[in-house]
Amino acid sequence: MNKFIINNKEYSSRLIVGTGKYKSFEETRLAIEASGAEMVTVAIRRMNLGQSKDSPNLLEFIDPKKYTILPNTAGCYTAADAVRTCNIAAEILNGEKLVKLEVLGDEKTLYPNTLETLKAAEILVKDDFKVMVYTTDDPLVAKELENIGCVSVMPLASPIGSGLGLQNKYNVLSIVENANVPIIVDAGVGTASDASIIMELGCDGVLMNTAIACAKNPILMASAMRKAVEAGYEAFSAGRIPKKRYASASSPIEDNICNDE
Amino acid sequence: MEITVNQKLLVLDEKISLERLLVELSVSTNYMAIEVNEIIIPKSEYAKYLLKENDIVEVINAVGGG
Repeated sequence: MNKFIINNKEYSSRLIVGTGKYKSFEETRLAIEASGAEMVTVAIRRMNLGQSKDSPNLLEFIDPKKYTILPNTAGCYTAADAVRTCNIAAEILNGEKLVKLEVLGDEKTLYPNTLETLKAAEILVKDDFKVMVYTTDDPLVAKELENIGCVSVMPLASPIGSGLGLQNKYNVLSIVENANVPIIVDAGVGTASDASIIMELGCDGVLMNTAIACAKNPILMASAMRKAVEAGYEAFSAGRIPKKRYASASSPIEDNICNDE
Repeated sequence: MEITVNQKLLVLDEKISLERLLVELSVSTNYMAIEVNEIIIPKSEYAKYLLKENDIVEVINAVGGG
């Protein structure tokens, strides 16, 4: 089985989870633990200055010494805004330059704006950021982002938060087959089988947030996702049987006492 | 002197440093960043960085997100 390496660090979990939409920091922490994830995404926003000095910061609950923190550029609609956000993220994280680049094009679909994404990726890579990039499932765009120097390409399964699962399996398969960087499907997972299907294709990992955070029991769903990602990856590595139209008996045909000729 | 901090107007009696502003606002400097007029000010400069009239200050941190 291949090692899962992002930005020169090896991870044993192929599941990356978000920290949004939870009821509390405590629930976030418990769900991340149950998911087994070692990399977690965060958003970059204005501080709530009404809060007291004693009220916890997310990164006091999710310890950056224990987890790789992957700041995103969610909510950015231009390359300039995404680059600005990444620079702020690096300052917040004491110089760490691993980022999740997402430049959105439309509020209704949260679909990536490909032109702005490509522009931002070029600027960030030149500025020594290690870019994990959210993109459409277009194989040509995915290859272009790899050629620019992104450390991971992350096509969507379906729109962010939709829970529709993998909608364009053959495009994602084409991306995986042509890639020399880890391909992580980001966005659209609804339940455990969606994650397994993605991993069975040969993807290197899955990134999800809503499917866990908005489940009735987020901690139980986090555990289910951990198993689904592991099961899917093991099944891919084991090599599935070819599909056939007709049956093939599992028990011997010969020496059947009920059917002596 | 007036400055804007996280979109709120703040009236100051005297010129103060970023470091002093953070003390006034009870903000810890762990895992946060500051932009003044869209330029990031490194933490090492907070003590000597004096705010000017009409400065736009953004105090930013990491929050839950996907």
